[in-house]
Amino acid sequence: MLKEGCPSAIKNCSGFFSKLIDPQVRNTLLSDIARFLSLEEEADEPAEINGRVTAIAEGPYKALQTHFHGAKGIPREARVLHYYTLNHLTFSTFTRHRGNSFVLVRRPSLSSIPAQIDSILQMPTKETYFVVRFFLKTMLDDPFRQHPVLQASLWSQNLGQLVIVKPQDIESHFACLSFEWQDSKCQAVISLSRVLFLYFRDE
Amino acid sequence: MNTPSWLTSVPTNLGEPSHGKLRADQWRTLGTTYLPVSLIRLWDRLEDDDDKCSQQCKKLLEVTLSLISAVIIASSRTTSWEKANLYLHHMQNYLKGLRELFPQYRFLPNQHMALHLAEYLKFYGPVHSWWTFPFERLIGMLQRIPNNFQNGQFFLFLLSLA
Repeated sequence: MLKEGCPSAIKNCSGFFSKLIDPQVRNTLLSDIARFLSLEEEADEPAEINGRVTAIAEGPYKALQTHFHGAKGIPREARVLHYYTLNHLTFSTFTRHRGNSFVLVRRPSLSSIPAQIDSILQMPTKETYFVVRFFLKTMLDDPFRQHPVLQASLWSQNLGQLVIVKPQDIESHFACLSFEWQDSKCQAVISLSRVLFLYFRDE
Repeated sequence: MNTPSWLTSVPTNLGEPSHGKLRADQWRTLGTTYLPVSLIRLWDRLEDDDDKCSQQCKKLLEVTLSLISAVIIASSRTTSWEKANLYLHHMQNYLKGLRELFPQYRFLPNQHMALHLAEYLKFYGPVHSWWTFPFERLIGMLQRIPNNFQNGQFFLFLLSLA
């Protein structure tokens, strides 16, 4: 479609094609009736507005300040959302749905980091930000390390500071299980990405 | 285990006959999400190498993880020659391990066919673009449409109105 001379009829169908081939879209290539009926929707269209405008709490506001390097003019009020839908996947705050709040945040050329969504802010400019806490690394031996294809890893149950993340930086949800390993409490994190990323582990 | 709401759920009473047969997607979720964590927790730290049971468990773990790795690679939404070769490596490891663990086991045609999947990944790309699950799903939808099991009656009814 990007090639010169591509008929405009094909170019006009770019939305259809992108929906069919985007590997992270949940229902990609499920050719059932419901799937085709929804072809008119935008793949990246967020769900309806579900929160109300309130003053941003101190913690998230500090995280916003850090994210924008202390720039002036950061609004004190934002719409606080309970959930946010992207590519047919629902991302919720920790208090609303634990499983939907666990996300892997991608880093360029490195393996992604697990985080928990603390709150979701929609600014007056309509930009949406996830306020997350990253899981901290554990010093224990990671038994999943020798099986990189499983896309599983061991993390501490402790969480870090509040950090701002854009929805586009979310790789996928993850499943997790808390358990004791080598007499310490830890958390097994299993990526639920539909795409297999093979990285050489940097940690 | 904490999972997102979209992930196919697995019966909580897994192993009991009451939940019936698992669907393919339930098997995949069980294998790629629940089993690796549970089995590694249980068997990875068995240190008694002289104990036959421990050795058996370790070998079972290795073989099972090879199969799970092959499933993850094969069902990834992107593929490459590198991934196809890695798939074949894990699938061969799984089948070799199975033969060592259970010498009397008779392999099935599906296990032979699984060895050819690497070629198809190279020729045709990710399995999602050519597997037949969408058709299975469509058949399921058609089966759920209520009807009175009287073939052709509706057509005759329309003709009588004309």
